[in-house]
Amino acid sequence: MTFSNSKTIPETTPDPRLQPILDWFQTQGWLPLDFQQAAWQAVLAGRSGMIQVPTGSGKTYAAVMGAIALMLSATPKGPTKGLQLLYLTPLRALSRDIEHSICRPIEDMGWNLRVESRTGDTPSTRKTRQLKNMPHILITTPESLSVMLSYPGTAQRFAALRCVVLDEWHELLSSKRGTQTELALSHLRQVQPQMQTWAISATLGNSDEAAQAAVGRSTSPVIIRSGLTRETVIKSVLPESIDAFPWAGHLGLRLFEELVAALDINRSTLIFTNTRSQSERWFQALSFALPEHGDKLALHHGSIDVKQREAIEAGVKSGDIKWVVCTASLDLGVDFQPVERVVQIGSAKNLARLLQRAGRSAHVPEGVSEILFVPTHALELLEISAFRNGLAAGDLEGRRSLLKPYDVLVQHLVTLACGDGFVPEQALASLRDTLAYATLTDDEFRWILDFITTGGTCLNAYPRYKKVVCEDGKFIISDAQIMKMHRVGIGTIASNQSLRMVYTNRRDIGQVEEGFVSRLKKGDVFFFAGRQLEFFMVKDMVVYVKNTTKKSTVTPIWYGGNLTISDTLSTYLRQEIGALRTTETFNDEITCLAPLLATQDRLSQLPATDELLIETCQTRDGQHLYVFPFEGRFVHEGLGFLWGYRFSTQQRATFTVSVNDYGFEILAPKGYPFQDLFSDAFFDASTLESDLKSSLNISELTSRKFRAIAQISGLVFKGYPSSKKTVSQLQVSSSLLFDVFTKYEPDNLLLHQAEQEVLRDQLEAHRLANTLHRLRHLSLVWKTTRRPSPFAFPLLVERLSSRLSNESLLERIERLKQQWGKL
Amino acid sequence: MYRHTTLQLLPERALYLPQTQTLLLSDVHLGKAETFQRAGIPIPHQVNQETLHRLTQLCAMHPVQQMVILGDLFHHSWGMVDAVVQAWHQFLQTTQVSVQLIVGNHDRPLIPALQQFTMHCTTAPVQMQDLVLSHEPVAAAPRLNICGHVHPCFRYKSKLDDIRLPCFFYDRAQPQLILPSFGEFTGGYDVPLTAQSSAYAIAHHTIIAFDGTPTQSR
Repeated sequence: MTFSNSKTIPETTPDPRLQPILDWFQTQGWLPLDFQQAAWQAVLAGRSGMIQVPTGSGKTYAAVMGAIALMLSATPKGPTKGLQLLYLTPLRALSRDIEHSICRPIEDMGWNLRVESRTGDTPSTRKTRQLKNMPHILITTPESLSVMLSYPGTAQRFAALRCVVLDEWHELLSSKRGTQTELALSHLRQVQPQMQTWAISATLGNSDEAAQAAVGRSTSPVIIRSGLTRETVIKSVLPESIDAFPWAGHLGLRLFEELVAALDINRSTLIFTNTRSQSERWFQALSFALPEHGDKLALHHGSIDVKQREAIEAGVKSGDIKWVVCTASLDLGVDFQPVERVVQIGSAKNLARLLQRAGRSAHVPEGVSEILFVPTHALELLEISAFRNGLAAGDLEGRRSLLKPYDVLVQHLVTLACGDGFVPEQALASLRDTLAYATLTDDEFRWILDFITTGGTCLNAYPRYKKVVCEDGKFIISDAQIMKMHRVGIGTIASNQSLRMVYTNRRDIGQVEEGFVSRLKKGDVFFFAGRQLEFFMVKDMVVYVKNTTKKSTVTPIWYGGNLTISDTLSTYLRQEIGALRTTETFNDEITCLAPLLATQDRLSQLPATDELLIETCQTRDGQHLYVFPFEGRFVHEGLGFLWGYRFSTQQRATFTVSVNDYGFEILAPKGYPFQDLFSDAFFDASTLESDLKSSLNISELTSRKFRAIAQISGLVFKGYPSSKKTVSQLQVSSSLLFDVFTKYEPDNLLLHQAEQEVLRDQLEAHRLANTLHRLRHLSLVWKTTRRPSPFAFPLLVERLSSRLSNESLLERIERLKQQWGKL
Repeated sequence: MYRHTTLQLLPERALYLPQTQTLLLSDVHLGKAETFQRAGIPIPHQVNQETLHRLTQLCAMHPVQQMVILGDLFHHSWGMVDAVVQAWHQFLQTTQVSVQLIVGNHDRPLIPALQQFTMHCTTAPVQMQDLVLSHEPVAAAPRLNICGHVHPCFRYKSKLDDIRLPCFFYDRAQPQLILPSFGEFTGGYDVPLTAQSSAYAIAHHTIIAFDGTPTQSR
């Protein structure tokens, strides 16, 4: 890590306690930056807060050196015993780098401090030893911290804790992992009220809120900014002719020759893709294009074996590996000094993400980050243009702490009960100090206590069910097996069952999802981790494969969340579309796109700023309705359901709603009279929530959300990781649980949570209301097209759809029977 | 109708043979909720009552003389709690029907505990007129094999809809008829239809037949 020496030391004399730190900086030939000094002073003054600087500008030392200074000056003889600094990182892969950075000054200066890390990869003997004898500084993940809280002795173990550092807080904040972190910290603060919290975050649209979530509600946070500015330049790879460029798709391989021509194999380059399958395909294509440079290319994503990923990261640092095709797996952390260029394939969908990725190049505090954008389909050219305008205006998205997810709270309380146990009144007070559970009501808390003690409401207790029991006012768990099962399940990252993939000689390759494996037959050939592999067999949750040269183009699919364009970006996107009809001079992207836009205008229309375009079209599949509000995938999903419901109340039907970032499609049975049924009432926002709920009651969305909730709250037990012993008597699908709870316990809060997650997070009901308001003032343009227009085509082919129906099951089956005969 | 035996598929997820006044059902999984509760997972225990309630009603609706349960009556030893055991005792005492259990994979470890009930237990497939009754499917049975174990579900997916229903699964080639699982709190396994097979799906209170066609084999 290097710092520019342009900053001057403030006039005031530094705190004498900082002397050892300043001495070390001097041996390195560095001068502390202003923001580092400011952070150290704030730590010495006992404050908590957030450090907000770009990656690679010396944030780690800004965050830890203050606490280290405190530890060194604790007594004349040096540090006292016990864990004093806890460093939380979202990625366990980063813990090694951080440990290395922190150890450097300690070793150089011979400070009497012990540093260790503890993650899922740490051997269990070492973990056991750590529980008995903590190092001074521990680097760990939110999950590993929660697991530590599930062992008795927490109060004593964390009694000497001075400071917790939350690295990459922006990554954690608005996820359930962030909520889990807030909860764990609130418990630590109860154990050690003097504890200071320091978050490190990239720039966010809502820094104050992010800082408050990190430090807890009863502390006033200091926010430290660097004042460093970094310019970001976006360039794009354009197709020679838009005619040959696909209207839909997400791979973008069409442009791979152009990309190869634009890059230089001797310059260190990160190539970001949005999905793991996409990264596999691009890696194949690039390897094919540059066969003589195979050793300079690498593939990096979250399913590849950790050791292999580490080898790739080391290769990039040493300069042996030049191009890395990667996913969000390289969004974070690891310092890649040599990276000179960053490529983004497909839209990054979010200004902050683009900025973060761009920041991976020119990894010095000040400098120009350049990002090369490769569109995957024609309309994405519009997004590039919107990105540029958004960045120029300096707009960034905010990230919010989740609103009291009950599942994470259930898990947290059971964790505490496994450990030292908890007293409800004290626990409630510390819960309410978190931003996430500030509004937790007494009733909600009571329900959750009942849920983990008696299994249900007071009237409906299950005598056999004794998960958590109350002894002398303290809630604890006494059953060793339940404790063991709970510890295995700690964490909030819900994923499909994944299987380990190894060569027949047992060398590890990585993880694939069960769903993909189940479709493979012996001898099938597929691509994974950049290798061409032949499927051999599955045994004991391990997939055996061998290398092959046989032909195949199958790539495993991982199911992850879909990205949506952010609220901020969608505003710029609409400006872009609106400007098409009024502006005379266009940038390169729009000029390239012009013929396609002309086709849209010919087949249908290019909507002006004050118009809402609606298209209808009949195909073999049924009657299609296309609407283009350009508000992003999530809002369109909500709007699709809302309008679908409003149509179906007038004429019963089963619809399929498909969405993308530009618009949505409602597919109905043939001849459905969309235009006749439409009215001004469709823009009414007053019955928004109740209409959405009515439509959701009869859909599968809530059941899907319940899957993760059931896992996190411990309703679904996935088995012990290394044990061959199955727990088949506890196998159950979350959809069956959902049905059972809906039937017998409709007031279960976890069901309410699933519904709220759909309304708030998935359909963004608040954004929806604003959208309806905006659309109401537009003039409607109805077009009937004989074939789908360029805007509609992506919705037709990239169908990620949900169903909505108010027909009875029998009506649906009746139609199904009719179709059955014709197939 | 199979040879000389009439088979009546009931939407209550059971099979009735009017000639012998026999009721066949499978995979009841009593005590499953209690098994989960024991492991710290609070499943509502009304599921047992609901299952038994449905069974009692069935016996009232048809002139049933005997009942053969094709395995997996109980879920697991953890679920053999007093309430569950008592409920089954009570059912056996109040019903006029003679009950026979063909022991399934879930019941096998529970055989000692099953002795307390006034019902006949067998571990091998049972021959009944033209039929071979078993828990797990019997390959190449000389006659029609009626079995359980699979928990068959029929799934229909089109661009417009996705429906999944418990079903009776009939495979002409074997020949074999697999019963749906009877218990309330039981999952299902999607069975693919081939030209040789049919699914009799249960939707509310009706049964709807789907014949497999060669194009539907996926």
